[in-house]
Amino acid sequence: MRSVTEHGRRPGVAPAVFFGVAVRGPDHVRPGRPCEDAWKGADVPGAVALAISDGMGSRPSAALGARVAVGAAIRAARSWAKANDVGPDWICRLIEADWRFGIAPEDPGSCAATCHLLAVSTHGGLVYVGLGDGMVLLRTGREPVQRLSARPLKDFANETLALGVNHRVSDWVQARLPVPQAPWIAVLVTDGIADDLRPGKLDAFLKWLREDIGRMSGGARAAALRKALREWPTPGHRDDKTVAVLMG
Amino acid sequence: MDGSVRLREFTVNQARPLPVVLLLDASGSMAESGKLEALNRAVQEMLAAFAAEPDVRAGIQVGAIAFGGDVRIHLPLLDAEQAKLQWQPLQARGNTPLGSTLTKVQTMLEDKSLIPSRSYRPTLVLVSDGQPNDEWEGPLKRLLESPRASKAVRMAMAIGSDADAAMLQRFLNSPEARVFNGHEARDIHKFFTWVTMSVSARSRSATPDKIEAIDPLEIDEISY
Repeated sequence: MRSVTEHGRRPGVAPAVFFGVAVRGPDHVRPGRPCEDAWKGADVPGAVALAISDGMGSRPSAALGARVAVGAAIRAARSWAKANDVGPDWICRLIEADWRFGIAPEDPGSCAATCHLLAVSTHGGLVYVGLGDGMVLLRTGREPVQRLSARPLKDFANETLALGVNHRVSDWVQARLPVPQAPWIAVLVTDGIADDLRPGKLDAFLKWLREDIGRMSGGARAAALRKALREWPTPGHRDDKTVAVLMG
Repeated sequence: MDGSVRLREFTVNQARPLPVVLLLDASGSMAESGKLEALNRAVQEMLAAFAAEPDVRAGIQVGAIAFGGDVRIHLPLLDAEQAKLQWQPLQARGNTPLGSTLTKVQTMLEDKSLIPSRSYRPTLVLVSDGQPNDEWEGPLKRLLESPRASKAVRMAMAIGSDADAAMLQRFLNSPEARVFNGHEARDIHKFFTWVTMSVSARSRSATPDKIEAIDPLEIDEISY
């Protein structure tokens, strides 16, 4: 398992800092299996981008699927930053194709993974695309928390759309918004976290990330966040957990 | 403040629920041959076993709908420990309104405030000793076609030769699934032992939505 924290600063209209952590859940710690969640953040020319993915637990190459998904998402953000008039549906198509080549020669079904990408460009505004379980939240100034990801369509736990599972491009949730006015925070979480958050406390969750975790230095921030996720308080929790934060 | 302490403010403090809904025949005919007493005892033992489950990774919840004369929530959906405390023996009366029972359970399964999306797939357990006396084909079709309710794991027991085993087989809606046919009161205990084992195995499993294949006909050979 590798939990990474990165951060960066961008000059211009949308200076932003990003950081994140992915930790194994108890189901993967005990048998010594790898983390099947992944996250990645990057400063790309003209934009800053953040992606998370949750490999489907029952699939043998889920960890690979998740790693490839976040890489594909960041590359798609790079392309979008150069031509942000192109609609977000093309970002989805780009991720789909890049992911398919990236996992080859593995069977897509064995690598099934969700994918969520959020990017902010100084010229193109904020774009979000997401497929499958997980939650993406945005708070600008004192405005109420917005949930960019769709409310879960799933009926019960462990049901999700994903790369590698039959779906259509229209199954991706897409959103495009103006560049957020500072201070703003966007948070991407996999369902190991999303399913256990109390709906009425999302604002407090974001405040904790911004004010308690976000103000720490890089190393301390990663350690504190990793510790908090490993000591996740919901009884019986088992999933891998990922939080990725972008704030400006 | 320590991160894990803060997180308690934002997170739910219950394991993901594993709901079990019992659909129990409490019609007048169940009073014969000690069937209802056996059913009451078997449910009580099952609730005690669920409440005593150590180290569960999914929180077993149990509710019961009784049908006999009318259809009523006999036990609201509660955590196993609470369900054990609140369980009251069924009283037999009236006929067998199974169609209305299926409509009621469908409404229950579709209610996300009652069974949230973070729950594992619910288990429905239907026990009956008679022929439905109301229109049941429409309600069964709606239940089996409901995007959410149709995902429930279903188990069924026919008690005695008057039970409508064909209807119960249609309720299971799977050629591999078998109706448990019981002829004596002790068969009811055997069936509920099987239900208890299946649900308990799921609650301990790393993959609670993977259904453990335990053959109800081999229950005597399984030590529990």
